[in-house]
Amino acid sequence: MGCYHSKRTKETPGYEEPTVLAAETPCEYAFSRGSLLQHPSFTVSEVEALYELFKKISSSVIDDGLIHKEELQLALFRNKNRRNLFADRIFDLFDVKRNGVIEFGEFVRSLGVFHPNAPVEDKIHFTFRLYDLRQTGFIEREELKEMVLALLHESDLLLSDDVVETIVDKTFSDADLKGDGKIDPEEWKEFVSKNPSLIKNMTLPYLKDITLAFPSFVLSTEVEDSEV
Amino acid sequence: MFDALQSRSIGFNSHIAIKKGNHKEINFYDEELNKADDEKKDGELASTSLNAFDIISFSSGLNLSGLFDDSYNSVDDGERFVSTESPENLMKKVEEFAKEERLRVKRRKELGLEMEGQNGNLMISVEVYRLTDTLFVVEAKRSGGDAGCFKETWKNKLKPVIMAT
Repeated sequence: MGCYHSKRTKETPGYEEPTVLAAETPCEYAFSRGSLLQHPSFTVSEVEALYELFKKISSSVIDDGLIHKEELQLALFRNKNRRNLFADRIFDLFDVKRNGVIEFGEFVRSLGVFHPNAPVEDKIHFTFRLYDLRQTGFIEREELKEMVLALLHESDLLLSDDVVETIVDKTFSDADLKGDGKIDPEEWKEFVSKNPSLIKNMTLPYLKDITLAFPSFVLSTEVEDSEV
Repeated sequence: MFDALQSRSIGFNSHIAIKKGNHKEINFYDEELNKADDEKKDGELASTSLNAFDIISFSSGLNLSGLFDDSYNSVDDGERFVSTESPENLMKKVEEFAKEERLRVKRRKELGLEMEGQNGNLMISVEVYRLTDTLFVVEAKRSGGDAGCFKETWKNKLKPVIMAT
């Protein structure tokens, strides 16, 4: 009783059909968050183009079809060993299952928020989770200071501790409207609406033209080798 | 077709263009977003300071463009440093530099400008942000063109001019 199944050599662990992912990206996500905005999700060919990108990144250090942290570091910094607090946070947020790797489905769904047409609310919420380092549901003053220090260290910017404290204090008093020593999601939303450039990193214009940059030669119909 | 490829050198992967036979330019540099920011900033007081989250946003770990653009290198393509010099003085120096080097100033705001030269191979944007009453962050970025051109010009010519007291 032979069991024949088509060889899906191009697939990686965690691979999901482009048609499934295209249906699931931003549109449904927005509805589940109560947004009434209609906006396009990734098309099937965009998902296929993202797969080309995913393959490139996920094979760069360990060729297993999964993005490891080193591979993200290599893609962002051209240096697989460069550690960075913010890249770590990006990695953790993309790694929805928290199994230490980013699978294709997680990759596509997470990038959906970065599409120029994705709802601003989603972008705002993503940055909140990004900056909530210890995932307490709030951005605490210590976390903010830690992030500022990390940035200064990363960019060789030299500022005295006094100046850092002053800046953190001022930011916190502007954002922490309730004055309880931490920034909650509502306060964050309010703060971003006054400072929209704070979510500038959350939009990648490339995503609109992704099919040009990563042409996919995958046929849209996949033929099964045989029937069972 | 070759001319069309040569005339825009902004992060353009000419290999892909030949494959697709498509002349649509891939905008690897978010000109549209920059314009929107410009319009907003010109309307605001120029004395708006960077807040702590603005500073954090500078991180290359938060700039996912690097995933898409192979030519973009967060280390070589720009630099930021803190300066105590008045932004007006700084901008004056940059403008003079542009004049001397015969660079065309493409966009100009109160505390920033973008200049182009060497047939489009050199594109530099310089922007000054207020940090506190006495401190400013100067940011110089490659806004297109050739990475080598930028690095060479920035390191050997423009940076020394800006840092000279």
